[in-house]
Parts: sequence; C-alpha cells; structure tokens
Amino acid sequence: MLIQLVHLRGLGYPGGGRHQTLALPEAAQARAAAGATVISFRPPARGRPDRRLAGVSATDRFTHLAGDDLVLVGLESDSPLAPLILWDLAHAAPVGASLTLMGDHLPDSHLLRPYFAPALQLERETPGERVLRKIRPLPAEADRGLEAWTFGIPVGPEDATLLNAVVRRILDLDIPVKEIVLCGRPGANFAHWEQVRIVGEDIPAPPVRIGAKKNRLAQEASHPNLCILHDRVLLPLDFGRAVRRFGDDYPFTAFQSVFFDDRWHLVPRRYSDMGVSLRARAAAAKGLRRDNDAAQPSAFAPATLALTERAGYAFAHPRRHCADRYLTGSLYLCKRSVWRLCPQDETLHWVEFEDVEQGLRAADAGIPSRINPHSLTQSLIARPLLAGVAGAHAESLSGKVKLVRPWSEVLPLPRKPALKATQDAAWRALQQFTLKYVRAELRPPLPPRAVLDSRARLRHVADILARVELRASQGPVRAFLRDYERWVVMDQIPYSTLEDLAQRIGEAGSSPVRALLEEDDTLVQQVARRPRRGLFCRSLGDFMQPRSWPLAAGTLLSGLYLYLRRRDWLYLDGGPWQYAQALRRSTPLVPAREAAP
Amino acid sequence: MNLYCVGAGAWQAGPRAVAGLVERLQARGPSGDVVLIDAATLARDGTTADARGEPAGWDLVDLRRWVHATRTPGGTLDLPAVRRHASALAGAPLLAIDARGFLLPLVDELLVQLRIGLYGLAQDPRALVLLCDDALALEATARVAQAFHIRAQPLDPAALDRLQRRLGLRAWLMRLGGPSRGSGRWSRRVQRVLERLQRRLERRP
Repeated sequence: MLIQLVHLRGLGYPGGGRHQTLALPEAAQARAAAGATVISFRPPARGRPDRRLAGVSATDRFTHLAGDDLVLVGLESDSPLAPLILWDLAHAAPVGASLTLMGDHLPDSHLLRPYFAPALQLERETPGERVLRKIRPLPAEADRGLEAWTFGIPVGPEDATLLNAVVRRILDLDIPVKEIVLCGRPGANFAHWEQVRIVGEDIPAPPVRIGAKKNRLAQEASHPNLCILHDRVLLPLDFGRAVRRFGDDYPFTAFQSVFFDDRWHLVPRRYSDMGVSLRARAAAAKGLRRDNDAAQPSAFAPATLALTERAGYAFAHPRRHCADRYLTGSLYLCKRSVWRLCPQDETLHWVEFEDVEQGLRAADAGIPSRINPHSLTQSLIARPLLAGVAGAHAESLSGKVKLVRPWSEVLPLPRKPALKATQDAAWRALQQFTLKYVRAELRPPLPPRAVLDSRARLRHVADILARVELRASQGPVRAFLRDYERWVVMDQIPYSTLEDLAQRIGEAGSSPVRALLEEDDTLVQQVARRPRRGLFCRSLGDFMQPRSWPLAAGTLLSGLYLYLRRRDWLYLDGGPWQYAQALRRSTPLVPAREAAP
Repeated sequence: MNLYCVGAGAWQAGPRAVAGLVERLQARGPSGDVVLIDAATLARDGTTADARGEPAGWDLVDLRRWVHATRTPGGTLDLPAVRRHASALAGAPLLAIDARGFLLPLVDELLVQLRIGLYGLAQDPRALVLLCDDALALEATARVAQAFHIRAQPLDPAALDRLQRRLGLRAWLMRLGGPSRGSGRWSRRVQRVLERLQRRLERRP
C-alpha cells in the first residue's frame, strides 16, 4: 500500500505537490506493489497513492499506519515531523518487522539513535537505503496499557492548600488504577495522607533538587504510565478519556496549560507546557556541571546559566515539531521506562533549565517531546517571570515567534493574586529585608499598606532601597540581590538580570534605587499586573474560585476566543464547544464544603 | 575595610604619628566610615620629633608609579597596574596611597579602579589610607566614602512622590501596550509620548 502524507498547509512545511518535492522512486512503488507499506511525503511519479493523508501535523498519531514491511521514503529529509512519525511507526511495528529507510542521505538516521538501538538492528545499508529489523520490543512497549497510572508530585513542606486541590483532582480522575506518590513531606495542612505514598524524604533542600525528586518518583512508580506534575497543575477531569484518545506508546507528552489571571475566566494566558529554544542547543559557552565531570562541559552548568538564559525561549506551537522542543517541567506524561532511560540531570537544581536540558538530551537520544491535543490543564498559580504582563512569546502555527496576549488583558476585571505569597508573609519579608540592610536609626516606618497597595509598595521599597548600606564588593552585593529577590520581589529574577545588577551596583557603583527600580522592570511589572491592590493573597485558597454565573459565561467566551485564535495560541482537537468544555473540566473550583457559607 | 583620608599637612607633621593614630582607630574594629585626619587633628594628638620618620610596616604606594605623564596637566592612570595591585590585597593589613600633588579627577579615577580591583576579593584589606593635598582633603574624603560602599541617601517625600508617579506611569503603559512598543517609527513615537509625559509629571510641584 502506498500512503502519501501531506503537511497541514498553515505549517509552512513542504507541500505534497509534484513541483514542491521529488517524486517517489520507482523502487518504492514496486515495493508497494509487492505488498509493503510505503509511507512518504513524496507523490508517486505516476498514478495516485492508495491513501492520501492530508493536514498532517505534530498532534497526529501514526500508529495505525504500521505494518510488517514498512518502507519510509525521504521522511527525515521531507518533514520536521519525522521523529514523531518514526517513533509511532517503530513502536506499532511488530517484532520481526522490517523498516526500510529510502531516499534519506543523512548519516545519522533517527532510528539509529540510542533509544532505538537495542531493538532495531541494522540489517543492510546501501547508498540511499537502510534496512532495519525490529528484533525486540522498544522500551516503551514494555509498559503498554493506559489503565494504570502513577501520579508523582515533588512537594515541599510549605502550605499544602494547592497540593490538596491537585491531589483531590487526581482522586476524581477517570482512571481505574492509580497511585499518588509525593516526593518530600507536604505541609501540615495536607488533607490526603491516606491516599498517597511519600518517598524521597532523604533528599535535602534547599536548594530544591527537583531533578533528583522527579527521578525518585520515576524509580518508585508501581504503574507503567507516569504522570509527573507540579503541585500547581490541575489535571482535566477527562484525563483518562484524553490519554486513551491520544493512544499508547507515547513519548514525553504534556497537555497544554492555561492560567486565568482573573476570576471570571476572561483573561486566559498560556502558561508553561511546551517550550522551544532554537539557540539553546547551539550555545558555545559551557561550564562544568556540579559533578565537575571534565568529559562533558555543558551549557546548562551553574557558571553559564546567565548566558544560556539569553538563548531565547518561547511557547511552542503544538502542531509544529523540531528537536529543540522540551516540556517545561510542570507536567510530564511518559512511560516509566522512558523516563528511567532519560532521567533529569540531578546536578541541576530548581529553575536551572533542568527541563530544557532533559528535553534536548531526550530528543538527541530519539525521544521526542509532544502535546496531547485532546484536553488541557490549568495552572493554579503563575510565576510572573514566565507569564509576562504584556503577553508571552509564543510560536505561531507558521513558526513565527511573537508576543501574544488576550484582548481582555487591560480590562478592569476581578483578578487572582499575582504572587504565591500571603500578605502577612510579604509584609514580614519586607521587614526582614529592612532589618538586615537599613541601620536602626535610618529605618523608615513600614505600615501593612506597603504590601497591600501596589503603588504604595513601590514607594516604600524605594524608600528602603535609598537607605540601604552595603559594601560594594561581590559577596555582599550578591547576597543583597538574593535577599532582594526572595524578600522584596518574592519571585525569581532572571539569571542574566542578576548578573547585570551585580555588575551595576558592585562594579559601576550605581545606587540600588536607580539599578533596581529605575533601570529594571521587575517591580514595575508587578505594579503593571496589579496597579492598585491584589498583588498578594490573603490565603492560598484565593487562587481557586467558587462556581458562579460570570465564571460559566467567561469560560464559554474564552472557549470561543481561544478557538478563534487556535492558529497562534492554543490548539485543541475540536470546535469551540470542545475548548469551553476543556476549560470547564480543568477549572480550579473551591471545594463544595468550603464554598458553603 | 576601614577608610582614612590624610591631609598633606598632617603627613608632613609626622608620618609615624599618623600611623599611630590609624593604629588606634583600627582598634575599633571594622567599620565602613571614612576618618579624615588633618593637621589640626594631629596637633591635638601632640606630635613629637620622633614621629616624623617613615611609618613601619606600611604598604605605601606613590601614585606617581601608576601615572603616565602627559602634555596636559594631570597625567593618565595605568589602569591595569592599579587593578592588579588591588586584586592582590585580599586580607592585607593596610594599603596607603600617596596621591599628593594630583588633581581630584585622577583621584576619582584611582578610586574607581581600586573599587573594581577589590570587587572580587573574598576578604577586603583591613584599611585603606589615601594621602592627598590639604586643599582636596575634604572633597577626597567624600569621594572615598562613596567609592567602596553603597551609602544610605534617603529621599525626601517629594522625590519619592516623583519616583512613584514615574514608575506608576511606566507600569500603566506596560499594562496597556506591553514592554514591546512595536518597532521603527511607531516605537519612536510611543517613546516620545512617554518622555513628554514623564517630563510633565516631573515638572509638577
């Protein structure tokens, strides 16, 4: 059978017309006539293909095309989607099947990469043709089936309000066999001790060894399917349906994620699901990782993180694919065996690009990262660093990276808190900063308004910074900036910004007011986010909302809006109703008994 | 790191007496303040004839070593030499620089280079003494005070108001249009409007 694939037109990938690509070789057509399954983006030199699959994109699965004798013509040359197609075909092919790669003159075929190497044996190689035989099942096949799942969550000892919501949601999912494993001991207000298993209490913190925690979760998983998620990711209620629709033998997969900035679901932001960085892989500046392994200098070394950060990152469009994609760490759906083959680098800590490093390394090993388009998750909170006030850089369907933000961003709607910190904690932190850096006789009064009112906060912070006294040398300046980050900004400041600030304050002698307020936008962005009040929450429960008519109407409207913007923003397989339903099913609602008066 | 500024008159009256005074001041322990030692201070301390010799154990650098003569007055500083010397001073007991005869701009430049040289040290030298002409001593003391430390400079309420308004305006514009204000002519136009607004705000009483 001869199957011609044709890219989705909007992707801008090569078309399937005779004038746009080479014709299928006669030899391939002869193989099709002899009973092989020939798959290619190339049109036959004469006649028509037996089957033509138009509109192919990265959200499609190709397992149904597999056969005993597969001939793949020019896939890697013709399509950036080749790693996904080859992954599906190689997994769906039975043991003993032959895979013939024709028309690709590349020295390193995707199917020769380390992930496939133990299962696919190179039988014959001639110029322009490679024949591989599947001699044993691939690692992911050892974990077949979608009924049993291990949900793993790395946690810390802080307030467990959000974790409770996440675990409650997992317990409500349509999955017949599941276990929940927490890596680390949650806060005292955790409500589901009986339903979870706790592991990894021996992993020290701080700093948060997120890679070690996730790897431990994969080691401890009892079920073949692994869902590693952060304690802010609310899975959709139809999780089981969505993963079954997507199919088995999936590589590193995630759902797209949305964060609603307002309480009526009218300000959607895409937030932390899959990213793309075209320059991270090309980074020439490298350092040694924490294990000081001189054999493998890496761009993801603590010494060079500020440079690696400059590589440029954007949300990836789910229908496109390239090897520079990575899941952003907050949600991984994968087979237990696949994670164990490509675990996270344990020398990297939290927010040290451990997700990018793993994604790129996995792609090099033959394991692609992709999106399941049948549902989405919602994030309970959003770190301001990742969700820019003026929108986020996102790749469009055609591959352009642009700043996107919803039309409703400027509307005066009731908003959720902007930072995951309570007003009381923020006030105490600001006091702590003042105590440490301002001499007693110069200390200004610090009323609670300094954290309740956004503009008053700016004024008080300016007043404090103007009274700071500090030796302008490396050690004290860096310590000062670290304290400013955790006690004043209460969010991560980018590595490159920190380096720049240290240089400006320490070496160039710039005043903290000038360097941190006038020339840096970190605090100004927070005011832009919440111009009046509402920067901090009263309790973490503020990030969930009760059922209400405005919420239902907002969800419907956002479903319609996201559907209309699907080419550039967020893609779900379905119409506007499917979008609205996906939003509804992943909404973080206040539990019924708490919502009751 | 304790800082001292010594006037030429005090030094001429008795280098050893200056050293003795610095030693007594060092006994207070580390402090970020700058102490100006002028001739009157030394006179009150009571200078004796044997206090006029060179102080023992001082790393006294003549600034002329680091200055290349030029046709114009002042000369140019050998920047790498200053930074190299400073960066080798981790934990040193004392660095004294004789800047007598040099003008304030060169002293300023010297302090900047010293700060950069000292920036990466894990441990500061315990004391830094700057000798300068009496006419410059007061101003040089102020410059030394600012050179190695971030100093408190409390803002008056009006300045805080202006800053709050300016940053609030920037936040408002960011919310409206985002940090990316387009490109080319449009970007320049937005920038002009922003600057005009800013100037108007700053003119407000």
